[in-house]
Amino acid sequence: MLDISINVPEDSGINSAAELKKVFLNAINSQKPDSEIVLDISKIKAIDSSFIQLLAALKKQAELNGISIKILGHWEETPLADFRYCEVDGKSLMQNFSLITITGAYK
Amino acid sequence: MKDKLVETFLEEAHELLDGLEEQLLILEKKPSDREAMNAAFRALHSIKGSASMFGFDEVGTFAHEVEAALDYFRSTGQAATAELSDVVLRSRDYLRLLLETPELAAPEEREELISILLILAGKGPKKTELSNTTPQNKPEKINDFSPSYFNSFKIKFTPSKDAYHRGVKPESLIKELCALGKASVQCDCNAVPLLTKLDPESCYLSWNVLLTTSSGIEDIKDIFIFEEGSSEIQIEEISHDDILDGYDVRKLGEILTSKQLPGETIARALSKQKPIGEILVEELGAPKDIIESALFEQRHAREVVQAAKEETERKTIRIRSEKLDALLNLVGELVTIQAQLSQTVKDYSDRHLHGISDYVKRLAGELRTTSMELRLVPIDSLFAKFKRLTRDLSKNLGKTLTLKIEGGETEIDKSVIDILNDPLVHLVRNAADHGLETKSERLAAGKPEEGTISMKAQHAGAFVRIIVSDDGKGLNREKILKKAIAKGIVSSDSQIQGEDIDQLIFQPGFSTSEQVSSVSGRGVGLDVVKTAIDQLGGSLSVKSTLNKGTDFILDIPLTLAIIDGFLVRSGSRMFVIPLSSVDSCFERDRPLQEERLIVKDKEFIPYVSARRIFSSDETAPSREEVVIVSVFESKLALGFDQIIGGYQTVIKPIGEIARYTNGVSGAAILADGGIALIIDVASLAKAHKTQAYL
Repeated sequence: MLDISINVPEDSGINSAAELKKVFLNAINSQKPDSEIVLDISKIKAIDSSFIQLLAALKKQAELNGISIKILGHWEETPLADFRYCEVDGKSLMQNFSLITITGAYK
Repeated sequence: MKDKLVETFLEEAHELLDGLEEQLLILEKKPSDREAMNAAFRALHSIKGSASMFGFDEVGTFAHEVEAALDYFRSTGQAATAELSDVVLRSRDYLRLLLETPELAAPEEREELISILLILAGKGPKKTELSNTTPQNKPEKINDFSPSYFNSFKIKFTPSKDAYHRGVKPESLIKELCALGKASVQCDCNAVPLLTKLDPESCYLSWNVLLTTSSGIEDIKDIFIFEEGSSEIQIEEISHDDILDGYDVRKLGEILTSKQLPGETIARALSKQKPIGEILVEELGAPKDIIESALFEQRHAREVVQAAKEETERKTIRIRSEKLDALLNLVGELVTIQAQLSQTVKDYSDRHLHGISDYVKRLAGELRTTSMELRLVPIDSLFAKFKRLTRDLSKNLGKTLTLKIEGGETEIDKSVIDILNDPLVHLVRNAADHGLETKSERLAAGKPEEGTISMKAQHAGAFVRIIVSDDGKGLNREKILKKAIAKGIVSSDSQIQGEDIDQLIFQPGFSTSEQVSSVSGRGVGLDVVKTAIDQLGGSLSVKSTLNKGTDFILDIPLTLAIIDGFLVRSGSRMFVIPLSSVDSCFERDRPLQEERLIVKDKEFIPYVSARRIFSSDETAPSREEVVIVSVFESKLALGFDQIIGGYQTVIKPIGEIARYTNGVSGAAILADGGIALIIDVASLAKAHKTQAYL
């Protein structure tokens, strides 16, 4: 199965939320069950909580569609780290997205 | 090694006992102060734990009984009764005795205290059998909102759907909240819909925050002030007792019990070998949100306790004062050597050498300042002891006394504090016993029934001024003079009058008390206090107004070790004036006749030449350097032959010689090995008033 890779833009705050939703949705719609979407977060420079809920919505949708999601890039080195205090269902933010596997960045 | 550990335990135990005493005195005044009750309990809990660890079993067992009584009041939410405070204060003294001189700790007293403690802890006969005169037979419920050092809040923030449209950044508000203290944050994503249903510009998130902070609820509300009415904000203060047991974090089961989960269910879960939360949810059908909330609170409590421990460990380190003394001695030697180096380098033109010398000078100065600061402790550590003394004096004398403390944050050298204790005890006892009237006398004089003793401290240059005052009857000059004549201190035809009569109370053996009292002693007298203060290089004086009160004023040098000085010369003698006392200086033609006053900036200032004070008959140069010094309200102009400049110096005591040398407090070794006398500005100003050096 061909995997899709999405480059999450530098500014992924509320101003690009609508555009990003479209990108995520296109990716989901283009994938079949058991396929994989790779989110490259290594370029992210600015996010806000709207991005967090976009990730949560993506996770829920992917789970429903049987698609797995991998994160590419060290989230600790991105503004996502600012949200490390967030806990969902008793787990830290990134752990909560069980379909997202943290792997090393391709550099 | 073991001895050192025991020594450390004893030091800590004494500190804890002092802390316990302070909290009990607070409880006597504010019986509902929950924080004071908890702090007292924690102190006893710590003493009990460490005592058993170091083999002080008797201390541990007795502390356990006292702790049990306090815990009974604490856990049942009762306010402290006068009876409880009194017996715990007595128990505190007994514990001190067990630590210091166990052979003097009477077993009968132990038994008596334990029997009262058991009754108070609800384990003995009914309270009424013990005493039916207790002022507070009806326990008062502790006010949950009593001011305390820290509060914990549970905050739930659910931004409105249109929050992003309104330009709100919820995470920024959460960040502000976190800045108030120690916070644990949960972000709830459960309301976020599937991607297909998501409006990316609407907010679906909510935040749960547990915050432990010294701020109040209003500070939290302020953060959300612009969200009131738009978003959902719930702020709930949570009791520390729900999550903490003293300094220990409560077990999950205990937290769940406080959340009304049936004890039977929890007990069943505890009997299995799996995490209790997991069993409760999976097997016993307990609501998941309650378990998660309890886990969240437990984790937060653990973090708060850990942070508090780390904070304490990071901020403080225990060092024996002898080690500080040794350090200061070495720094003193370094300062002297550095002065010699600077002097020697002057003869060389090597710029590199001058640079190194200047650098050493700067480093020595910084080292000196830092090591001096290490020895400074707030005077409050001394003043705090007087709260108990005043309380006991109040009971023993049957007078209603209150102690007011001001300037407790004023810092002073540790060694000075140690020496000051006895003189201050004497002054406070004196004020309570002789200075303040009885209740009936006060009421008859139109004064409030409660007598006030004040202890104030303030910095003034190189000195700390401590004033011990009372609002009592003041000194009776007629009586003092009569007594002084009877004791042969002054002759019957003496012309002494006014404030000079007041000073007679500092004469050896003087006591105006008609009766020997157990409180202020056997009239050993204030001369002992004055001698102690004089030996510190300080001064003691008294100001009194009949029927209004008396002030005892102690001017104490801030340190006994190293000072920044001003090096001057008169004839062949060198002197150091403490720089903090130097007001200004100028040069002038030497007056042909000795003056008593000079005019400087339209101000008349008393003047005296160093040549006159220290009897120099060497030929005087035609020009004179005048240094104006000030100490508290007084100014004095001193004439010298030459001003050499700033000079950092180690004070070397000159012992007995100083007793007979007015205006000198010590000596300094100069760079060339010579000696300079350190001028005692305060005593010189005083001597000038009385012309004592004439």
